[in-house]
Amino acid sequence: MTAEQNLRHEMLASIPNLRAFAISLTGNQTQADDLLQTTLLKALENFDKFEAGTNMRAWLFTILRNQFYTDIRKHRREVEDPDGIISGKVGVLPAQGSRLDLTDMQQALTQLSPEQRETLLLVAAEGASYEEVARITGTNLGTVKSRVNRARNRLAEILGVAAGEDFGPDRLARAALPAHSTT
Amino acid sequence: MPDIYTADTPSLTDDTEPDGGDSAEPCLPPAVVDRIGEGLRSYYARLMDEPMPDRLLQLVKSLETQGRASDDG
Repeated sequence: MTAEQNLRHEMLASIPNLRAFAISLTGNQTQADDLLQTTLLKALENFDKFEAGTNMRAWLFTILRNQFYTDIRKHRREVEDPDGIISGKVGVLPAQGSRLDLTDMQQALTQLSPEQRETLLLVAAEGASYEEVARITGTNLGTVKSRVNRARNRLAEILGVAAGEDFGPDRLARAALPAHSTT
Repeated sequence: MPDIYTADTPSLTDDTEPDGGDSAEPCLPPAVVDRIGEGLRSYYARLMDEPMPDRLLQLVKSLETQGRASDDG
């Protein structure tokens, strides 16, 4: 297999991750799919610029998140409140009952700044190292650490997560029980 | 360095810390960190399973076919 075919395979294998990242970042499936499509096409055009021996997936994530911020900048009027940009676009994910905790998490993520959101997702969901995340997001280790910490604190607050407690449907179900219930 | 990789990585909020510095935010108990991590991973896993729209499937297909075509040639 040639080097380019290898890269192509790695690219294909990264697509589900890139898509999950794009949906989490934008909070909107259509926007996420546009972003993914642009990312893949850009990556194909720039295959020759990919440095052999470096991480293909990290390269793709870099292209995707840079494109995300470029798109945001193009639509300046939407970013008067950076923290609020995504909140206007939630509610596009499927809303079946079984997805309650998924939408809870999606809603909670929209309340983070885009930088906190991308950093936490890369670390906690994608399993990237702080060094990798610093490279992907073009910042330093200290910033990555503090963004992760702030993002976790904020999520814990929004989701009402305390040690030993569940969140999602169970918590909601418990909250719905009448307080005087005797059994 | 390739342009696309080093492209001035824009961010919207200026919360950049001096390197090595850490924020004054409290550290969460490990159990809470774990719980949030689990929540994010299962959220992410479900997103990875979301069906892709036709336009993306077509793009993926053309990527696969191009790969195969060059395998043969």
